[in-house]
Amino acid sequence: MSQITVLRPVDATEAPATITLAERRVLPARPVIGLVDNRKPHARQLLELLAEELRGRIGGADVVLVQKQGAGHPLEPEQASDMAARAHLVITGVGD
Amino acid sequence: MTETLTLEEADVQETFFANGWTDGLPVVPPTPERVEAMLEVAGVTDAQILIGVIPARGKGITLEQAAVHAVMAGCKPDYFPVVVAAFEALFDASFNAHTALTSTGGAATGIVVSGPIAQAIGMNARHNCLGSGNRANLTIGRAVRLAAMNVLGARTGELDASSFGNPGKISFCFAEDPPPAPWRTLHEELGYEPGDTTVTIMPLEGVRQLAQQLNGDAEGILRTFAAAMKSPSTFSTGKGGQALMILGPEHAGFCIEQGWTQAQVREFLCRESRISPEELEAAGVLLEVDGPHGMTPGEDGKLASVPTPDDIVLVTAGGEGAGWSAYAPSWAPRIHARASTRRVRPSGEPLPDCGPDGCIVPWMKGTT
Repeated sequence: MSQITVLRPVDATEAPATITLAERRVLPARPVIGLVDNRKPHARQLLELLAEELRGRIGGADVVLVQKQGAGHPLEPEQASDMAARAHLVITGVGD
Repeated sequence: MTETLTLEEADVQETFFANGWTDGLPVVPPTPERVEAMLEVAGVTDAQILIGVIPARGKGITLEQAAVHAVMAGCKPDYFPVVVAAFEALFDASFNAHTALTSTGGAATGIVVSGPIAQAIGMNARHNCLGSGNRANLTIGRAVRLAAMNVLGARTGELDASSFGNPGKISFCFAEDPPPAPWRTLHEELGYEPGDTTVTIMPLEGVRQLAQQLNGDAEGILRTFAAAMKSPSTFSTGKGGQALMILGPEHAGFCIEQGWTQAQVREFLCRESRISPEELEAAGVLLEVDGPHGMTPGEDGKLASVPTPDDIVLVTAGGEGAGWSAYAPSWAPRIHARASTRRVRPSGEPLPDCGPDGCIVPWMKGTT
């Protein structure tokens, strides 16, 4: 049997075994809920229903919403910074 | 530097299959010698240079990684400059590889090669140019998809969420058959020099064969094609997409003989593929409300299937027969992704230093 040396076609970097979640913080009396509408059909309506449910559970909250250019584009850096500065929790990740 | 591994020669294929490193077909083992031969033809002096990156993913492809996948796909070294140009086009921000490679819509990475290098490396522009039988056509397209899968994460079960995919996701690459005068080649139409060779890359749905075998009137032929472009079942119809329109020799010949210019063909197809909300609704297509695709009718009461004539990539290819052309729509409206074009660099010409975001240039040379 002969041996052959080949180049490995994938990045050899191992994926992290664990993922560290964001720090859970105590919410202020009236937190700000951030919604990121990815522009998929009905995403905004679903996010607003979730926000309304959360407002009821928390006992009041303000809601801010940003829209991506489209589902195929990431949030603009300025939008992400603005959301991080204003919101205490953010809901995103809505698909079709 | 890409890592190496040493295997029993008889185990190479099964090892690559077991690791998910292939597209389902056997590959040519990427030995250092074969990879070096690729890089040498392109005159590469530093194989670790990034061709481009997808900023949203923090992933890019080096010249060496491109060469590894060109070998795996079965490319001859002479094809490698075309492969590099295809990657350059893929990393143009307008192509939006982040989405175009992985969307649920299952876009193929369509590649059109226009210019003398296509002929020099033996690409097929005629009979069966979208099918089997030509090594350059098949392996150049395959190299791009293999690298997208292995290096950029566009793999089923990971980032590639295609509901169905399409056969063109294995390879969708062909050469333009230069049209008879006075029509010009695609690369000349895009503003490049006659001696240049370009690679145009588009995210495409599957190909529709367009039959028009009884009508010798150019306008009649083009009306048939416009009807295909406004099919309500195509996602981008009425939402403003792009289109690859490949005119076969009979259809291109009728257009040329009857005095149509390429610009007139594109303008006609753009105008006649507009569709009314009523036509969409009659086919059960609901109009988006407050959606991202701007489904507000224009002054003619209709919506664009392609917003401008320049959103139609018009090329000539295919072989003589009963009268066939071919068409593939972009898989999504152009706000999500657009065609991009790069010139094939002669051996030794360095890549531009584009910084971490890749090279952002207009897909049509000379436009802003």
